[in-house]
Amino acid sequence: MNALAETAVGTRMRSAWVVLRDAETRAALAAELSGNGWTVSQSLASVREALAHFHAGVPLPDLVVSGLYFEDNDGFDLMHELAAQPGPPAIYLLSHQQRAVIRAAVSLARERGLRVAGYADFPVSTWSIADELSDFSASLPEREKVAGAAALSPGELRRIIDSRRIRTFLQPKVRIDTAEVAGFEALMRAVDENGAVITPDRLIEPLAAAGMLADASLQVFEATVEFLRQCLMEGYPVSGSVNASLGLIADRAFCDELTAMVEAAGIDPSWVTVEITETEAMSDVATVTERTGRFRMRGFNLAIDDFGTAYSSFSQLSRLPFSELKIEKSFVTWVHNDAMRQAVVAACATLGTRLGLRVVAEGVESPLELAAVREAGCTDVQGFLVARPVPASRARAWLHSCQGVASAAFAAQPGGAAPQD
Amino acid sequence: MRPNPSALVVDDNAINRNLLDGILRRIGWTAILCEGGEQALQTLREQTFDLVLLDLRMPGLSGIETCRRIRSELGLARLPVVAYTAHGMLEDRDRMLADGFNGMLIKPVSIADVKAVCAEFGPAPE
Repeated sequence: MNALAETAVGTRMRSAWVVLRDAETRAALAAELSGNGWTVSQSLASVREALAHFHAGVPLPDLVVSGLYFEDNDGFDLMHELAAQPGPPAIYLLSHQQRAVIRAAVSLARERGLRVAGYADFPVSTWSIADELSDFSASLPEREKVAGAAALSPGELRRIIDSRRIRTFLQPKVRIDTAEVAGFEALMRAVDENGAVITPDRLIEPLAAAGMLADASLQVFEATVEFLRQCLMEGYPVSGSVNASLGLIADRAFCDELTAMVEAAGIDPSWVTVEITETEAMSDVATVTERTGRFRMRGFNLAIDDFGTAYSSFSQLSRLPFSELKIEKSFVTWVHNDAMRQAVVAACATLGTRLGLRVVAEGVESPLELAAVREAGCTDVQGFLVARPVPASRARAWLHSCQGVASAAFAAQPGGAAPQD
Repeated sequence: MRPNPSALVVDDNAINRNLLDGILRRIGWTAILCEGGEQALQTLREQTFDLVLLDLRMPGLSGIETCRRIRSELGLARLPVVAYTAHGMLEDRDRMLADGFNGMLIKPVSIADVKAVCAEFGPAPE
């Protein structure tokens, strides 16, 4: 019988389940977590027991720390069940398995929509896991909010667009060699009638499904173009990146509207980069090639987003006239600690720079990741290390405050960018 | 004391012209701004410059045609002319050099890029 399971759930404490075969590790980790702001509400020796708890309707915790290999049901079964729950807990994986298997499990968890708090392989000290998880705890949203967010209906989405409640957030992109702010990526957000932010996961996909993504995107483009005009007039050479699917690029009316917008603002279209992400295979290669070619002829720049994932592939890179290659965050996170990711990032950087493209590492959050992507040969970085996305209305103040050079963000980095004279 | 090095900036876009003007001043150059190729050729007949930054995509006389006439008509074979363009691929660079340009400045530019081009093609520092 396990005394920890009886601990009362404190109002501000985060709750966790620990599902590990090894009794000694399980007890040590439960003790560490309990001393670090967590309530360990279940300590279980098998996935089978965890599944029995789900089926009995035991309230779900904020986090499940789990191993992968068990005698009967395994960690994959656990993730499958967790993902089926509304507002599922985050997961932390702890395993003796080879790293490739752990990575596959992490990918699977994300694929299933689970939040991954981290992973570790043995031997590992339980206090370092507890330490990592206390940072994670601070970043967890309130569970009620996550669970309570209902899907937006097409009618609600239409009202968001018509009442211009689409919001543009901008995240800076910085040149690694000089720390100059090279540009900003525009990210779509929206607010509900009470002014509360609607997160992208509840916005982008539903807009696309309702056929309203083009309308919403144009509002983001308009805000971005106006932001660029102001920056350029003030003497800051910054570009703006906007996201579009190949489907959107293939829509001629959409391209004409974007061109007209840029012309009306009086800015050179080369300050605008369209980042193309593809989640579906191209159905009409000829049309896409024609439209992207025309887009580039009009002077816009094109970036291949999330390179190496889904359908962002070598065949696209060779066929379409890109000027920038963006490496997805999942390859950049923990890159300094992971030989596989180092190899992927270095290969992308070599490929991109040999083609004369800018190579941007996305999601750089620590000086160690910055050092690793610099070493790998990336030319630019984007991520929390430089700045989080800010509302367009505040981005110019940010640019003024750093005078267009983000050297402060690089300062923690030994051998960081030389200050500009 | 030697006067500041001077650049002729040729771009049909007013915001770009002013931006380059500002960057060049910040790094100790002076700039004369032209809206198009014809105006640039006329200015080059009247004044000497250390460097020409020439936009490729302009209405009227294109950047490539302007460069050709700088070389042939004005006989300025040794004047550094840098193509200012969004065509960044390495294969484009080879073609630009064959067309009589000395180098390329890729759009969108950064201050460091402008500085590097000025250092490469401008007069040697005293």
